[in-house]
Amino acid sequence: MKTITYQGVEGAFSYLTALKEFGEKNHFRSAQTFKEMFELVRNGEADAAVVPIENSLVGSIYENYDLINQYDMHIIAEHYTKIEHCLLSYPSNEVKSERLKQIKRVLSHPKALEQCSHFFQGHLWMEAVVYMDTAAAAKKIAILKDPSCAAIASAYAGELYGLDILAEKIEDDPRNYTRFVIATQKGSFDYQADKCSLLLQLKHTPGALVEGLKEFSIEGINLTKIESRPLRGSLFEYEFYIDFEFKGRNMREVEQVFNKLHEKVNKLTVLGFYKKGILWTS
Amino acid sequence: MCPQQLNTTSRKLIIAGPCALESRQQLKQCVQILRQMGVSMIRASLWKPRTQPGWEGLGSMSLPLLLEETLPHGMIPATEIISAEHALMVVHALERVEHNAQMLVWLGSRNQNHMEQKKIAKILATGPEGIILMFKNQMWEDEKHWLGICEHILSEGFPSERLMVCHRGFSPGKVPNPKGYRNLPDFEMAMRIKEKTGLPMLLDPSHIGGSKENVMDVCTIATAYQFDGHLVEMHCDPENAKTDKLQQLSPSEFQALLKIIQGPSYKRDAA
Repeated sequence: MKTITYQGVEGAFSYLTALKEFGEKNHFRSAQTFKEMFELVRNGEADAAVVPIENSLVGSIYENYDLINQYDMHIIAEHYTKIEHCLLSYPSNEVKSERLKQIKRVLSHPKALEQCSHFFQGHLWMEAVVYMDTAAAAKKIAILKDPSCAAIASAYAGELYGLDILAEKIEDDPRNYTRFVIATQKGSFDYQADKCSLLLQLKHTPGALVEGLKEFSIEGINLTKIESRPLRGSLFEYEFYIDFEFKGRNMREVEQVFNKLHEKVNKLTVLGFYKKGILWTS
Repeated sequence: MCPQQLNTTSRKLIIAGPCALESRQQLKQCVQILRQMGVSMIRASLWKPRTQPGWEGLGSMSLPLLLEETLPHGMIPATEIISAEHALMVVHALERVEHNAQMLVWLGSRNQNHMEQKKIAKILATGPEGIILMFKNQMWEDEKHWLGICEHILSEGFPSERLMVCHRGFSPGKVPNPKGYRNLPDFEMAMRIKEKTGLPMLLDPSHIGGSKENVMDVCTIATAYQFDGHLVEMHCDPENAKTDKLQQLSPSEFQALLKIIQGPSYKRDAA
């Protein structure tokens, strides 16, 4: 049995991803913050962390990019979880349309509130209230038992905390996916991998980034993501996170690209080789 | 790096590099990659004792090359020496380079003529203080013999402060070997030798494992034991390596291995 840590409370999208990745027969440990999650893994209190890294609508979660680097983590897998939001309220016998009219305050994570802006435009009497995370908001509604309060969270969180679903799929854009990576302290090497994450520290010379990226282009390797982050300890210098896919290519060809890259960069760190994630619905 | 420091630091000693030195370009590339990974000791054998007749390494002429491409970059070179003649060459070469330069030499498992071992120890004892000596276990399983190597070396005046031991497994013989290790480890014996000699004990997972997967596996199991460091074979293009191509890790595989070796309690300086 492994201990898997995730940020948020039971029922959060991170929790759901952890459950799908590792199965129920493991121990899932909640962390209040992303940093706490990384601490648990580094101290050996958790075997892996389920880390949200980017969302298809709101972009990268920069804090986690930085923490992966800072804590020297290793990426062993990735998953894309479809984010479907529901409006949840405490159970009542009244008809749904009446209950919707009674709701004055809607609690949820700021990103979730942002992703449901069209819903609020259509229900102007509801006030969006920022809460620490989606599942925690659902839990709070279950405790408050107040018909004027509701939460935006997953259907799973609604079921977990005994709430009714008043409206479902209320996100503005149905193509709402969060990409999670599974991070461990301990290294491993997946010989079936078809995707890789890298961290590059470039030389401070003109064209250094172009020269580095050219090596991928020459080999016909497809980059799927590039993200720059400030380099710790330097002033306005950056390091680059790069993801690329190499399905159908020999691992040796990838290694040869790295060998050439090593000559062009100050530092190349392989964050992990892993299988490309599949799209999941929550 | 002084072997004595190993017991006082949480960071394990990592010595990595190709099984054999093949060319200047190969060494340059390895130095560059290892430096980027924060590894400061590089192994590359010049003289290769072989199971069957084959390529025996670049030999004595490549010793200056090894020093030229490592020391100026802050890397400590490491190589196996087979004879007293090799020990003399190392001493002379190191005397000619910068003051305080360090180099690690080791006695391999096939080298079990105790008279030759003593000659080597005596020559190295009179050489520059930057010389660190390491001895591996012999090929057959015998705790007394392994301890004996240590006693022979110390009897010739080589200082224990610059001496280390390395476990590379024992020839499997006819005992069960379900994972197909090239050599079978006896971690408990290694820990007893460490305790009895008081010397840092390193692990050579490459010669125990014999294959990339096994090298990873051996290191994972060994995290339960108090090894002070690891001697790992890493090649920039393992498929085209001249020796031991099955057990040499690629740089990416080696980077993953580093995270197995350092374990969850390992804290990076920057963190």
